Amino acid sequence: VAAVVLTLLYDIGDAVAGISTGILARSTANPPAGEQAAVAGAMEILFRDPTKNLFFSVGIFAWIVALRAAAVALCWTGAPQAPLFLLALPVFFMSFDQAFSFGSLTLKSFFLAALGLELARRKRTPGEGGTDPVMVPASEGSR
Amino acid sequence: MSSNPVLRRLVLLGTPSVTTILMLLHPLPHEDITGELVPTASWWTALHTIQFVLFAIMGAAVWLLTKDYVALPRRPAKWRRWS
Repeated sequence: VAAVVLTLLYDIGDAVAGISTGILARSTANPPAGEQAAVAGAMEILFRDPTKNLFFSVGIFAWIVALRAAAVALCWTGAPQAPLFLLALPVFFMSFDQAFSFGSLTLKSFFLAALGLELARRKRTPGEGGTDPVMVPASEGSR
Repeated sequence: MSSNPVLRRLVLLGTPSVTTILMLLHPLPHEDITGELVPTASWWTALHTIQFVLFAIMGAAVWLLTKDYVALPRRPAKWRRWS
């Protein structure tokens, strides 16, 4: 649920802040001075709009909830601890800013955590390496 | 999606990698928004259009982290009582 909320609301906030202001900024290339000032004002309004900021905030909160829930669920399955601790980093970095450098740090740390979990999964999943009685794919566990 | 390991790893590892690189090129208009945005308007629009798709796939990546696993076996006993 949190992943869906993240996808919808963060995407809405980013689209409003990014795409709409980009279209406005491109339109200020060669207009009359009065029109340029009006477009600049519109961009300022879009950037500071509380509704857009609310979408961003709820999206960021959903990111935090989704990663925490994933960490707890993976902990219960006996996933390796190191990547789970790494999952705390994208939560931490996301609370600052999306742009350089926190946005890239957020996603890089998510990548490292996911890579660690994927490597562990590869070792433990039957058919892709060894076996593990705890960390079982859902399709196996339901049999 | 998760039954195909290549697609799974592409979403789970490829999406954050590509987005990380794009984030490094993300302009930072903070003080003079118009003055800083206008020179990079085309890139700014293109970046956020690409990000619109990538953030949606990031949601799928977060979901894929846990999708294939059952959670119950190692829950602490005090939590197991409640289920």
